[in-house]
Amino acid sequence: MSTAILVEGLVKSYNRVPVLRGVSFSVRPGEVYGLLGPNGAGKTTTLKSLVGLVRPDDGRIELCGYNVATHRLQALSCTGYVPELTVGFDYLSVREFLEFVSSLRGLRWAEVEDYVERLVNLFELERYMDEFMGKLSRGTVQKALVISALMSRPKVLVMDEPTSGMDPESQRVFREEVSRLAREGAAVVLSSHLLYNVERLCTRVGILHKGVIITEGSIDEVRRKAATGENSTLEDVFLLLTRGEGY
Amino acid sequence: MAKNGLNPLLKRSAGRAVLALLFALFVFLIAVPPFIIRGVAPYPSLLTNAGLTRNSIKDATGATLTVTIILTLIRGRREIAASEEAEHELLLALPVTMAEYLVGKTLYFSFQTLFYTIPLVFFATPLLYTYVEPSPTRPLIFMLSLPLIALYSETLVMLATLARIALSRTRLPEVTGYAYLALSGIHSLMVSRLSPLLTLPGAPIAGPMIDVFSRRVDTYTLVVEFLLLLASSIAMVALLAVLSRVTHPENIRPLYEMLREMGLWKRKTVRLSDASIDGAVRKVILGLSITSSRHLFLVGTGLAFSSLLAVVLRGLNISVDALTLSSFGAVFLASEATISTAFTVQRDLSNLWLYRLYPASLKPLTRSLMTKTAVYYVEGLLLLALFRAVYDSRPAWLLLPITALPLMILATLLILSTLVRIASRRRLVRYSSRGFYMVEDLTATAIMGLSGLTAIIVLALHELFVEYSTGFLNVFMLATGSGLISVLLWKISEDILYGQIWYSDVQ
Repeated sequence: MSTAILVEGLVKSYNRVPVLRGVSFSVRPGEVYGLLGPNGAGKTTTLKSLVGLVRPDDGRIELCGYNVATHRLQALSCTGYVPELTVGFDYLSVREFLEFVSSLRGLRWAEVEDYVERLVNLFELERYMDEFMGKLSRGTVQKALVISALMSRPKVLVMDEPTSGMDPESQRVFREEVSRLAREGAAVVLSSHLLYNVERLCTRVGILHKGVIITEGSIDEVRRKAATGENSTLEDVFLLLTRGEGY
Repeated sequence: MAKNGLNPLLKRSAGRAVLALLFALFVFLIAVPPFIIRGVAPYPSLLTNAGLTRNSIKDATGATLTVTIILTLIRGRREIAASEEAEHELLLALPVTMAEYLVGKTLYFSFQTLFYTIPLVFFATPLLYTYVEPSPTRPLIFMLSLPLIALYSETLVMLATLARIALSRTRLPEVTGYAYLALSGIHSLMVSRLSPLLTLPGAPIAGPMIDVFSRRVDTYTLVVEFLLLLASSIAMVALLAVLSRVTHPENIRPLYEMLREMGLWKRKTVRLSDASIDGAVRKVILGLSITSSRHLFLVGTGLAFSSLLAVVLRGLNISVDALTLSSFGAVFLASEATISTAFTVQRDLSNLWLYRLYPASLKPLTRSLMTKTAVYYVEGLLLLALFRAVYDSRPAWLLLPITALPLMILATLLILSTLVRIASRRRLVRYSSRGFYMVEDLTATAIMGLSGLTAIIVLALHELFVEYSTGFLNVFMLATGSGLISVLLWKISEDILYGQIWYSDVQ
């Protein structure tokens, strides 16, 4: 498969206010694509459209070669998703939540138990496994959500601010695990305001501004296009491109 | 009634006893007015000899509020609940005085009750017109009194909480509370009735609440009582504004944190891995609610109480007319429907993203949501049906849940469709006390009204049929027909709801 995630001409409006004005990008297996943008640029709407939580007004989305609009089940069966808001089942324990997600995905717990246990250990969640998610801190719930997305070893990962609330050690674990999945062939698209993580994790980035991708490529390519200099950071590029008239 | 008094009311056995007494009083107040307001109604001699008069009911009402305040003083929390997370995290970080915050919060809560009392007023108005006086004055006084009653009660409980906060390093609140209870108990025994120490603090709310239903009380007296309530409420709010300075934002805590600590979520871990998606979804949506042992226990207790109440009323020869029963039934079902749908919103619809994402089908979710809502309705109807079956000695009433099912299914569809539509347009606030804001509160009121109206219709229809049917066989045939129609309606409703959940955006 040449492209695991394909987005073409995505358009979406809310109450006649356009949010996405023709977003297009693609992610190949093994790539980690960082979708960046200022607040309100449309990142969450884009990512929700990828997994069918939001229906675009126009455009085409394919995951693992399946059109999300017409073959939703097949598309989502190879996808893992981490939502923007740290929302979970307050009244379920972490263990119950992960078991529930595995059941919803049609997976037998025995199939995923070892991998889940490994992730739980990596993220140091062992002592929270029997605690209700409503009692946990935001970062801890976020880790549980990340594990729920990774547990099936998906071919496509869609993650919206996945490290929100996580401590630095957990962010490092997250980066290593996502990189490992990408090396195994997963295609990852994530949004994040933590540009430090994006620089270390993403192989390509796309900057979304006012509903369109204004630039994309590897971090070096984007830096060259923005002409911010070799020693400039991703933050410099981001601020230049989104603050003013673009490049 | 008292948001920040939640803990003593729910956690402590004394608080539970007060809550049970309040509930029994509420039931009695609904059942008793028709013969009280007739003025010369033939009281059962047992009640008369026991001193159950309008004034004694007023005294009991006032005493209940006083005891609630004292319990808050003795066992209440030393903190005030903030309903919304933003109320605590954002508002209190702004230059807002504690007086502005606490008074504003109290006023807001009281006027919010105005929305929830609309159905109560809706059903009370025809009662007042029919039994008391064909005039708009009493319904108006009743409607205006309700938020003031909430304001007065809430302010008093808030003041008790402030006392606990201010004197948190001493045991003075507990000692004062116990001493007050002991003194008022002794005085009550001495005078062979409830002591003014118990009745006077709550007297301002008792008058408007009870006397409005009494023909013996003229309009002038009602207006005076209303003005007394208004003046008392203003005075208590002014006192609250002055005494608010003893608090600090540190004494304010988000409600969800308090609920968490109250251990409401304590339960045994369950295995949620299941071979089928349907099974897993059912375990979460139904298994942790309507089929949990706790819920079944509560339903069983309710059924027992309903039967017992009917037996008691029959034994005491208390006549309760159909209109009153229908009014009570409608209010009860409407309240239950609103509470259950708010619960559904917070627990189930707020996690819609997960159900839309992973399961191969949305049918298990749709089915479970409809089942849960319909079961809440059926349980309420069963309580009413059992009461009528025992009270009227007409077993045909037991078929009420089945004959009412078609309309209840339609109401279920309408409610869930509305909730899904709202959930698709607004982000549900995770830790909001209800999951909704003002616009949705109005929708919740409409849902409550719809549920009440539906209940009135089904109760009236079944009443007619029970009254005029020629035998149990006819009722059984009606129930069978109703059951078949319900199966068809269920299928259609499930498909409609499925489509709505499938096509809605998840915000």
